[in-house]
Amino acid sequence: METRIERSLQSTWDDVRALRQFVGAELAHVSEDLQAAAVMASAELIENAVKHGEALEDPGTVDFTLVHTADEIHIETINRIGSVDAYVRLKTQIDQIIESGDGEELYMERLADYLADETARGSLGLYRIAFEGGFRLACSCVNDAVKVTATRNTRP
Amino acid sequence: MKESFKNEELVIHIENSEHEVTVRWEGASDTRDPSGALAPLLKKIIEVCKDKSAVIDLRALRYMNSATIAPLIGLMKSLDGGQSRSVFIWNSKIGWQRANFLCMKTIARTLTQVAVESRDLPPRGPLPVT
Repeated sequence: METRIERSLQSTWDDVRALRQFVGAELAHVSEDLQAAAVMASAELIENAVKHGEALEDPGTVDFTLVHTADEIHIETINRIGSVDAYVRLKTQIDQIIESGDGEELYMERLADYLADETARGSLGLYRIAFEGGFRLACSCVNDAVKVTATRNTRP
Repeated sequence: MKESFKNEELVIHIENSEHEVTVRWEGASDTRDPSGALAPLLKKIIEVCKDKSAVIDLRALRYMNSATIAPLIGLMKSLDGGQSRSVFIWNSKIGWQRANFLCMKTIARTLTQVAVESRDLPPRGPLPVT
């Protein structure tokens, strides 16, 4: 059985919570760990998309897609991004995660940063998606929009 | 003395007894800026815990966004500066808690007054929100 969720969201924080809850309800039939991972990855990707939009006068919408099949779960967000620099930062972080394997080491390093510097914020969401959620991340850019995908095999 | 604080989907219960303070997090922490939203409450917790041991019970936390991790680590660091022992407890049977809090346990090894431990007993039932 395939579960498919497609939403075009306003770039607001209320939509993040609503979608997180909706994804959780739609995936109530999968294992608790997979459901929690998909909910977390969906919410973190949408949070990132909304944050990108905050830098824009007209953020437009965030297009969200989740497809769960017998083999994998695939999550995708497409949203406007404010600058080439913002995209390069995102791409660099995802490339670092891919090079690191599962992102655990990067996640730990970031937690250590937080402990050392109380003003440190951000940059954890993508690490969590890779490390905690077990997803493979990728991103691409077309004109002023960025597409971020997170994919995880669901077969043991 | 028992108090409860609600911030959107998150409820934090504080139970302050003579020698120990228990702080129980319940629900979901998913606001845009948990550091800002929780700052007054965390300040109060640090004040209440300055001369008592503290139990920060996170087992009933259903979900937290990544922005919640900074204030949690900030709380750890502040409690480590106190005179008494504090322990953060989580449920190792919950996958997302296991992944996150094992990492926090590792970084907390540099702290002298704070431990991060798993306890899998079910948390107590909810206290009334006041």
